[in-house]
Amino acid sequence: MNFKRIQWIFILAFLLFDIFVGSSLILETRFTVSNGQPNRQSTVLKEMHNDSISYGDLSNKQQTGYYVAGKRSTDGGVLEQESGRLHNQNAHFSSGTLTSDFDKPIKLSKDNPLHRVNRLLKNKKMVALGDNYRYNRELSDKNNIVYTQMLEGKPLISNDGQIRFHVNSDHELTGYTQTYLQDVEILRQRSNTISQQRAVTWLYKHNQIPNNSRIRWASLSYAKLLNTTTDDKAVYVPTWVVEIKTKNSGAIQQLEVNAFNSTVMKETPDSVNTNSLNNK
Amino acid sequence: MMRKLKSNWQSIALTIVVIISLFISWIFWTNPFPYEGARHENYNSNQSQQYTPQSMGDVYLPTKAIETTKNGNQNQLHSPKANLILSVKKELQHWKLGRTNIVKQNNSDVYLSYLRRRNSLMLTYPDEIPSAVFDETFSQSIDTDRVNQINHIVIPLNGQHEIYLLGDHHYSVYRVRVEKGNFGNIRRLLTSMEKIPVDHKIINGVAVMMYPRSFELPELGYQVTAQNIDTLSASLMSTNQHTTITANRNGNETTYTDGTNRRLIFNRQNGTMKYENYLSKDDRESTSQIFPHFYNKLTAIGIPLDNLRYDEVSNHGRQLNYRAYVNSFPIFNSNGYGEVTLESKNNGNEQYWMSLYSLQVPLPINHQMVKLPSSTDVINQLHATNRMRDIKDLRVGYIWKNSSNSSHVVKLIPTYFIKYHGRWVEYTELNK
Repeated sequence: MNFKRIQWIFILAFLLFDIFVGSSLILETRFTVSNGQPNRQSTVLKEMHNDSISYGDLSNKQQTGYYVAGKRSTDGGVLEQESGRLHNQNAHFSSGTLTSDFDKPIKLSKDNPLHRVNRLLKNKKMVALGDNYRYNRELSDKNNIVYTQMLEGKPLISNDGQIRFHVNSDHELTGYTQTYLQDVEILRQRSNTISQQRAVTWLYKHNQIPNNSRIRWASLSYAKLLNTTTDDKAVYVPTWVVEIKTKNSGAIQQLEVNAFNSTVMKETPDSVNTNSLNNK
Repeated sequence: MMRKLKSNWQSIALTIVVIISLFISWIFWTNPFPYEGARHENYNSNQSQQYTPQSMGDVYLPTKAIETTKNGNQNQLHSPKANLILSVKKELQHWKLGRTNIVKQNNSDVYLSYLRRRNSLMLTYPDEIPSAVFDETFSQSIDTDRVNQINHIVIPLNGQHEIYLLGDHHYSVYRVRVEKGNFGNIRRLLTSMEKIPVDHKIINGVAVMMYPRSFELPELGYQVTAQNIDTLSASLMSTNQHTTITANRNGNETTYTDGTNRRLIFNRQNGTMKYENYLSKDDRESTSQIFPHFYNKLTAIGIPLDNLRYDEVSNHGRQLNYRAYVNSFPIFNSNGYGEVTLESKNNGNEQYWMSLYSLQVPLPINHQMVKLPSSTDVINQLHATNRMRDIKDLRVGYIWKNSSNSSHVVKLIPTYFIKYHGRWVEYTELNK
């Protein structure tokens, strides 16, 4: 009887040993089998998780983009010319911004407010150059419906190509402000950008994301890199814009990573004197 | 028997778990990799400073795309916007290539006929690449024992289910069966491209692309980016061991050494540097691994790979040159800016030549068009100077002129470059 009990204890002890050590062996081997980059990425994602940084699905797919040049439409530019056709509103243009108030506020439906706004953009008498803009959910809130100008299929995030509709408490559009980027020119052949996942892990590795925070969204947009003196044109580059909310304080910040070379974008773009390039 | 088993099942179970535990222990003792692997990963992730989206296949890409029409006319395809070669690469990665066989070798006439194959798209590398690099770039697995070096990829557009790989060395032509692939997608990519008429000739035993007619290309503006010497020297000189790095200043040169086998000489006046690493003969990389080895080195150094492409191989496959490219054309600078040369010598020494400067951001300028003469005119001018014998190759590219004032912008001007005594020289230099 005694011997049987001892046998039982031994069986249980060895069984536990086998299960624990065996499973750790299997897990560890899986960790090392693929030594490639995706694995390293997943390690960083795990570290982020340990630091209480939450995030949704992050795509690992490389995208492509261009260096793009363009000029904010100012006095006498395309936007001012087109604004001459506007009706049923009081519009005026100054320092590159068109500001307009509708004569009568436009009622939006509760279920599908965008349907009405999209129709407005198609009407040249209501909004100038409306075809160039798309709704941007990330930048919109209760009081503003934001449309961004599209460059080669990606939104222009800087303030140089945006329509901001004002919404009052009765859920009516009262007016809008508009900017427009004109003379858009592709400066270099299409090339690869870093993936969404890579942009977020890069920010984390460079201590830009505080612990205990949430990544609300990360979208690939065009942001201003440089101002030049060639006809006041600026250079725009594909940029991952990542919005982070700190869980305790609720503070929201936006980080921008250059998607061509993974560097943090400067808050105020550099200015480059290109006069010497335009002399004969 | 069954009864015996039933009465002794506890002993049997005990034996089994003991044997399993012995087996697991044995795996642990003989196989310490899990832990080393984990440590290795952490080390790597700490070391990487900058990540570039350029894979090995993006650096070792063909640089020229040539279309041959049904009538046999050839055009070089280029565009300031569409990146044809990147798009073709992405398309070919979905293809499935099958059996490979040799069509012909050592016959320059047959070879030329494949270079001029009607109704086709040809992708041309700036210099030969091993077939393993082709496999890596296009996610294929063609027979690397049969196919050696590749200079051109010919994709027929007449419905044939095969492609041809051409190697200038020994004028080798290989046929590769296409088991799965959509030629229509490739044809569609060609529509948006601009065209320059070209022709292929074999001059002094080398296949050269000629420009039979005069044509125009735009001037381009770029911002010059300077890397930080401290960051570069740190990534070049860093090791796993704790060694102290000393820097000695002598006139315009600063020499960094780690006291054992690494040395970096930096010229402060023109921003160029030469790095040497004295490895033992046993540590040197095998020639077949040079292409991936140097790609890994490029990413480890941390220089921007954005515009950088593989450009030339020399010293029996042990020296590779990488060059900045803009819209499918190479950029040349007399100080070697925008260029990186890596060499692994037979005795184990590794030497790198590079500079702090690279071209990163294109700038909007009032693009003036520059008229280039036909290559026949260029060659006739060279004949007149009696230098034709020493000329090995000719190409159209952009010149990056060094400006006297330390300006951060540069104008790139299109012109011809001639390979003269092993160096690329702007053609008007030879007419002087």
